[in-house]
Amino acid sequence: MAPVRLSLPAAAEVDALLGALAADHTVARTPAVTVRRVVLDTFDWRLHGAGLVLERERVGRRAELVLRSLDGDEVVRVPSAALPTFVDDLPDGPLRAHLGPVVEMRAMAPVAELVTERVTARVEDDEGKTRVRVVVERNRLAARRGGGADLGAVLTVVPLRGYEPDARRVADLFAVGADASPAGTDPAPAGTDPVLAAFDALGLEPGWYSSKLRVPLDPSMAAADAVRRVLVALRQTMRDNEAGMLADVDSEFLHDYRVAVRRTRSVLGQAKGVLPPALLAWAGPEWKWLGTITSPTRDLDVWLLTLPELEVSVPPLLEGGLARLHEHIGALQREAHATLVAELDSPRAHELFARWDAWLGDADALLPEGPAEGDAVAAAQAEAPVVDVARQRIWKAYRRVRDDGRAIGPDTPGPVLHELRKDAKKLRYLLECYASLFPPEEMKSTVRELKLVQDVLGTFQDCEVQVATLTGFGEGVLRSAGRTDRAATARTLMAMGSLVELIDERRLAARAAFAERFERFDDEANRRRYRQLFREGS
Amino acid sequence: MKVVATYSIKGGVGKTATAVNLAWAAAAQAVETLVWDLDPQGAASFYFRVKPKVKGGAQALVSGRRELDDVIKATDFDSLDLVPADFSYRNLDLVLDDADKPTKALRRVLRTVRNEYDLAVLDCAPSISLVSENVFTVADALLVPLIPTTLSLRTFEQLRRFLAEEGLDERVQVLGFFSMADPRKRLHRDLMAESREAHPDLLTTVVPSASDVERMGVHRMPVGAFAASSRSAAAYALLWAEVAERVPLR
Repeated sequence: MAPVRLSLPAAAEVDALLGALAADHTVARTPAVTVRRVVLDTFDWRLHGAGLVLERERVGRRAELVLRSLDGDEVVRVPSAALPTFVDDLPDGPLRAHLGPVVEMRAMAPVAELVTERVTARVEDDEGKTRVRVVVERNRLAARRGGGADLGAVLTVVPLRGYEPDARRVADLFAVGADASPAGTDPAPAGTDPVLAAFDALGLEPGWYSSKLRVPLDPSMAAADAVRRVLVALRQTMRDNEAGMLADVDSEFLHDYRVAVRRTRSVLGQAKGVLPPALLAWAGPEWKWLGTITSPTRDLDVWLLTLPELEVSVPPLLEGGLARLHEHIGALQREAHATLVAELDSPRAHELFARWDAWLGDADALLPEGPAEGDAVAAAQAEAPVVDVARQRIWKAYRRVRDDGRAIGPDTPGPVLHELRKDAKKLRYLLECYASLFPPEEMKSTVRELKLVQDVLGTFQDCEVQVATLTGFGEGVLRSAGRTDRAATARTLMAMGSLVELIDERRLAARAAFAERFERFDDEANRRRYRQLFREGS
Repeated sequence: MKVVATYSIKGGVGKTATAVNLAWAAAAQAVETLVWDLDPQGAASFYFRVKPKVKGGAQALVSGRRELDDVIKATDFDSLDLVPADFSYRNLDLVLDDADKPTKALRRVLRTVRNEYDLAVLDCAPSISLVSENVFTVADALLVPLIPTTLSLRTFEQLRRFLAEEGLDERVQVLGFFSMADPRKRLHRDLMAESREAHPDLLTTVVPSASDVERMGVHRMPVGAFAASSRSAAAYALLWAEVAERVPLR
């Protein structure tokens, strides 16, 4: 039997309610307890998305972190006064094990603060044994965040194992129309978790942010308008992530920001004939520059994210040898991030954003040179239905990936694969930007097949770069080491040497896997899918 | 799930108080704990105010006609459940003897709840019998309260000899500790020191003889629940810490 939860009207008096119960039962009441609750989640609401609630509960001087499901089932409870930011801040144990796969690299932060006044009544038998617990919780927002707004009260009949019939009897007493039921008591509909009420009262929309591009387009829309709409959404994603990226709250803000920039570039790259040439000529290089200035920080972020996973493979003899490398990369990352922050505040960046935003707001806004002669001719497809333009551009990008991929043999040099990786990215971004124009199931399969190829290309390329970068890190570690701790430095370099080997193994494995992945991408079914979706049309 | 049985050949040594208070101390640390009151006298059930009654009795449980799951009762404490005693447990030996593979019958029954609990505490009636043989087969550790008297220590040696003869000393740890000890008595002090020399693996926690433990019968709850800051409650918390070290839960 699950606990029975009933929402109570604002006027319901707890004393009267429990008094009604006491008429037929022996009821013992514990003194009211005040629970202060801080609800944590990530920027993209990962916990909420997984149906979980993470709270720090404080009762008097006792503080605990509680992970529970949204409908109330507790998963883990551990003593902890501190609010964790990253999963790595938590000690090894069940809480960390549960949160790790959900939260991953994201930072957690308070999203709501609640105060709960809790009264517990125990219904006892003639031995003084508790048969049922009745818990009444009145919730409000904390005064300093939300001004103490009332969130209503919930009465829960908690069944005890082996005494379920007693709980059923008590629950029936409170049910609608029953004698003990106070006026207006209704069985609470599902999803009345006070945390949801708190989000609502605070004007929060859990799940509002997603790194996925969700732009609904109408196939008959003019191509230029549709493209602009996609670009507006991408610019919004950049804005959403800006504060977190500048403060370096976690690495995902920059990552999502960069993806939005890349997608913008991809759309622009395929917008010839749709957007005015003057705009393309100016915006293309500017967005490319913006993408470039974010790269050093991202590369170092990737190192910091993968090091713990690589560390596991370092021979036991050299255990701990990577700590110094970790510090070194951390220092480089902080430096790179500071540079990035400065560059985003440069006149060039300000001008890009100002002009771009002006154009997004008004297609006729002045470009650097103003509308150029012949723009109307050059943007011949601007008024064409977007679905036609999308088909054409996706088909073109697909053919390029297909043909270049077919030309790759076992001995093709790395740079050629790198080119293919870039082509595949362009195709991917086009598929995502225009996804809403095509059947969702088909698009899902299309993206899935492409992603498999992208994964091996990505791993191959990353490993190649990482081996080269490690050499650079080695020099950096040596330079910063000084003369006194040669033994530790030697250890670090040896551990890094074992990483080179490991990374190279991965690189070769990815290279070997490419042929099979690409063959799958280029099989009859997938070829037919592309043809039907983007060539033959409907 | 780890299984700890409080056990003594001799009665009146604080065996049930140990089971109840140890289980309470474990549950207080969010260790999901199940106490099985195997003593037909039902003292542990009494302390938890649960009626000593199992529908169908021992026969139904051992034969598998009734699942252990059906008879478990929540106590008034979080993470702490109880399988109550039943008067039919006085015949448990006979019931087990009828069962398929008699020495493994309890193990079979307990296995059905092994994913629900981290710890099972068995409170056994004093004796060496088929029931205790079952307990030796299922328990990871026997927690043996010793009163610092010659007689009590003699039965401890008897138990160890028995386990060694039956080849059980490899599979079950024997954790002896001093219970109802009075450090003011010279005899107690001397006997404890001597025994520690003979049995260096005895637990170091000493549960003092205290009126708090006697008052459990009046309050009908574990000592930690009504006298949280008493010496006895502290001793049982330490005892649990020591047991958890010898029998790691995970």
